Amino acid sequence: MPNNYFLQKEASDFRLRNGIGACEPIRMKSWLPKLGVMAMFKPMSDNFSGMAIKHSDYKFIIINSNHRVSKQHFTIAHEFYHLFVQKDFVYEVSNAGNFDKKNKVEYEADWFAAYLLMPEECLLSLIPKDELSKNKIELTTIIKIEQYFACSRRALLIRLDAMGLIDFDKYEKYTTGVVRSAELLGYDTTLYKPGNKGLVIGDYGAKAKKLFDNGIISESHFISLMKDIGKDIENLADDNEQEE
Amino acid sequence: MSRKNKPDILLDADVVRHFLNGSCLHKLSAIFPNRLVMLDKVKNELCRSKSLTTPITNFISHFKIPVISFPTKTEVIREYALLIKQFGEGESACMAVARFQNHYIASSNLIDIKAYCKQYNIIYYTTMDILVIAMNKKIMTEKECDEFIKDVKAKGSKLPCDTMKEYLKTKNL
Repeated sequence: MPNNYFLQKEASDFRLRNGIGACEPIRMKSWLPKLGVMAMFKPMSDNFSGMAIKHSDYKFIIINSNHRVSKQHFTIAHEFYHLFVQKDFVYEVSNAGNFDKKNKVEYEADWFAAYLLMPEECLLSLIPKDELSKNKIELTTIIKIEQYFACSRRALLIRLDAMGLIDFDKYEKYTTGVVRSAELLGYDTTLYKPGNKGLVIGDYGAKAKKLFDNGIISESHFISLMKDIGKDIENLADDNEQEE
Repeated sequence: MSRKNKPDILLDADVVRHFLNGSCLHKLSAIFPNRLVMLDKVKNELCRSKSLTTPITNFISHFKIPVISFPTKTEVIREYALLIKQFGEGESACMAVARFQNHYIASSNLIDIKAYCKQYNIIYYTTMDILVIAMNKKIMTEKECDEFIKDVKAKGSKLPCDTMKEYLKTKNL
């Protein structure tokens, strides 16, 4: 791996700039709206992890909901590189997590994502002392870390390899049977399964509603805009549920 | 009145939705006999909601409302392409077609269409205009119109008044 100090610094600055603690796991669903990023989760073909578009102050991403939630998190962090770090960025179709050196921008986005999701100091703090030498990290520790960071196992192993703590080849076997391995330890397995299909995060709906309420767009236009994000507001549940 | 004597009225989605929610969709055809038409784009827009597909299809078929294909004339397509940047699909289609084919529009979406219709001398009927015509033609009573307004508003739609009296007063009618 080449010298990536620049990307490490960018990832660290990103956390600092946005008030994310140095050892805090990034909860994407909470941070996306705070960062002003609108996100849509749609089923897509496997070789397509996501896409980012930036237009003046508007930032928009699409994430492949057929991918495991853990990979989706990595893809979101990857798209953050395009949206917040890359100069003069307009749009990019991504295949995050490949760490493909042939594509410089994508490669940098992958490493930025790895640094952002899994900061070194924090990673080290999660590894027991007796596992802090080459190829000593136990699978139980790996699962504990990926659960903490909500990251994919593959991304974590690549990160640990880059830190010199493991040889990826020796640990590659752990990239299969991931769900089972976590289940055996009693962890929730949502992270390892596809999810978020149809989810939209952001204030698109609120903005559309405001335009309708202010009489700037018609009712039909409002309904149509909401349908574009998969919300059929003509068929909303007509109940009066009360929060307890 | 025959279809040949007066221009066709292009039904926009909002008006259809209002009359559906006010349980008076079946009365539209009596209010404007042989004049209502619907663009395929408007039908498609309405039928994107699964719950509307059956009532809209039944309305079209029972009252023999012609569904017309969006014209292929360059000027209409160009106009539509400009309008769609700002307006919804159905209303853009109605405005573009009405401008070049001299149709009237039935649309409740005043902010969107008012200035445009004025600029190109397009005659339009809002939901409230249609209720006034329905009252004048004795197809609906004032009480029925008031019920209609109440029902439509209860479903989240916007109408300028709560009663016909209030509306007629604002219009000095």
